[in-house]
Amino acid sequence: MVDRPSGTQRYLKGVTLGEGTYGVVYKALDSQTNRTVAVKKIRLGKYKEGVHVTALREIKLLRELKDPNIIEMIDVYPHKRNLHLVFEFMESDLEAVIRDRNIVLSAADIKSYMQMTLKGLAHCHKKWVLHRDLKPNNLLIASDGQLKLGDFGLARIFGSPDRQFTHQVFARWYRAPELLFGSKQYGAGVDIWAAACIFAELMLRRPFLQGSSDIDQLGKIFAAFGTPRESQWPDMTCLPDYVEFQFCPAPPLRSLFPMATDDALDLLSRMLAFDPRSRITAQQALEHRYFHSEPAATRPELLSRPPSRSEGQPKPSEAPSSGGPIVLSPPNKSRRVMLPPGVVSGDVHSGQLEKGYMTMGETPNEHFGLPMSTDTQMLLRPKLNSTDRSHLKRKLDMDSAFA
Amino acid sequence: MYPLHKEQGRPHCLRFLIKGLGLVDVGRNQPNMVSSSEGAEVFFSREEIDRCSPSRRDGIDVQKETFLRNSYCSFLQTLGMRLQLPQPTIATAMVLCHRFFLRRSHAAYDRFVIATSALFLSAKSEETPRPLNSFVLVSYEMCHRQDLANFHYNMPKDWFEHYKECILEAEQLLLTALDFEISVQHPYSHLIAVFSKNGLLQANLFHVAWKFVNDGLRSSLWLQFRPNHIAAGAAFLAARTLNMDLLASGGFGWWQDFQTTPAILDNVVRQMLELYGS
Repeated sequence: MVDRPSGTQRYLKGVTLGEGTYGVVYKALDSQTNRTVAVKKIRLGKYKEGVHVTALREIKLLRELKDPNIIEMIDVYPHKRNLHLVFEFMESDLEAVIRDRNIVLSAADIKSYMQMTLKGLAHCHKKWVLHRDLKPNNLLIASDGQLKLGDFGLARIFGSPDRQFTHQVFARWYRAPELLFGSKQYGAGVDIWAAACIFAELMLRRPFLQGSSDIDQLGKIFAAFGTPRESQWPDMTCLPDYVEFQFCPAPPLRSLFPMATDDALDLLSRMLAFDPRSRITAQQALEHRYFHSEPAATRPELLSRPPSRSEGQPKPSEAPSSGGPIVLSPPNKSRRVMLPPGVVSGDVHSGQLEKGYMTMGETPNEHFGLPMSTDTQMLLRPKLNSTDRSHLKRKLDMDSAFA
Repeated sequence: MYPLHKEQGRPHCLRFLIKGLGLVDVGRNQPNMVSSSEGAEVFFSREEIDRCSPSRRDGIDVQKETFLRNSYCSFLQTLGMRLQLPQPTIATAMVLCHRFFLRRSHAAYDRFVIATSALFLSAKSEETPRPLNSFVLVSYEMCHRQDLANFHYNMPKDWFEHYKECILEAEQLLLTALDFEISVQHPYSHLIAVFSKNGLLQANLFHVAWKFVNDGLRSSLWLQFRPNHIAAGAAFLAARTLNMDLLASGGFGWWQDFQTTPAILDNVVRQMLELYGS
């Protein structure tokens, strides 16, 4: 075998793209293929427990997942006590697209993004992998407009019936109700729920259900879709952290998404079915008539994209959260942290949802992490201004070392 | 239980350090032992494994290597059980060790340090993590049982930190040697699938077959065959052990569910039986 350059000789280091807790991500040139790549350097010496489990998950799972809508891991190599994961270079991510006010998202564009997301997801689920951390800034966008799922640091193999999973996955706003109720045996439905939240976010151009605590998140969900009845979700009351919510009728979905087509709303409501078993699968969703009706999905290369990250000067605010293919980026995982009681929190959301905010039933406190008083306070709190909001985000961004 | 271990002299951890820390890539240029990075696992023939194992160059013959393989496997089984790890995690560690010693010589690396590290790694990758400190304690205790009891005062002061460093060092070594190919397919799921499909999950046959798979881990079968073939071999041996007439009992259409061929089955079964040979 010819001795080809490998490791540091093969990848010529370029500018730094961002820095996460696990290490630095930099742009590099693959001297073998002349391709731009992103190299994630993971410091090894820093961890008392050897190679970090998120890195192992990514390596193990991305080796098996090869799909146009899943980020490609090109290479892995160790160098000087650092582990280097080489990914294809991704220009942007969906969060940047949603946030960029200069971009108009047409119905066809949204369809295109959803189709690519679901295709990637369908491939994961076919291989029995749960992504467990879908959110707009993990949906990366390549220079040819293709959307690819990134960050498999929380992903897991599923399918063995007795395996217990942690329910502390996903950023809170994208967490399915069964997770919020503490379910430890869940399936592909959790990813579908998150995909549906992203679908809604694409239409609204702001996060759909912005709960400030797990209970608040459930309140937001039930305000939007009504409190589920026993018939809608028979297993609900058996979930570990189940608390009874005051009944609230569902407002018509149309009132939340006035611009959406009937097909879009139908798909959305199927993806947001309360009972995970009746939730549509990724494959079924792709076959839904939404994707076959007019307008046809925009071709990926024609989608408008936010300006590419300026070379050489990574924006500090953007660095960890949307640093392209940065995959290990705890600051964005942080939203899964529960706020300690008493921490300033509030209703970030505006609009119809907060009217429907509900008080909880008479279930004792110990069923969930937050004392009741916190939630009551939230009811009375005025809306947060943007300064408070960034403060809240910082608070949420404190990552607890997850085990 | 660890006779070889004594032969090799006590400070094997140190020995490992000297040879291991230098990260001398002993097996780097092994002919036709290069694993592909394409994700698909590469299988080797028995002949290749026996002939090309890097241990051969250091004068370790096939018989000796079989013995060494057996010794690190029983070490792993005990270590894994003491750490209350599930069987698939232990099994993965064993296969990682097999893969490692297909690429590196037994003479250059201490198998117990490598084994401890492989279990540490597989515990993480199989999502059943245990604290590194427990690995260090239990493994060291197993390796130095007598030393700990009799010469406690004689132990180097920083043995704990030292041994821990060894294991972390070995983890990187393992990953490099295996080219990060750390996922292992096991026959367990095939056994369960086929047996449950045919309503035999409760039968004694299933338990015996399961045991044959566990024992089979001590061979190099995992480097040679896909998991369904190994599962078929185990099921066949189980049926034979229980004196079940495979053809006469009629309901053996399920045999096809393993998707194996008689030639492969024969090969697997023969190699499994070798483990019990006198």
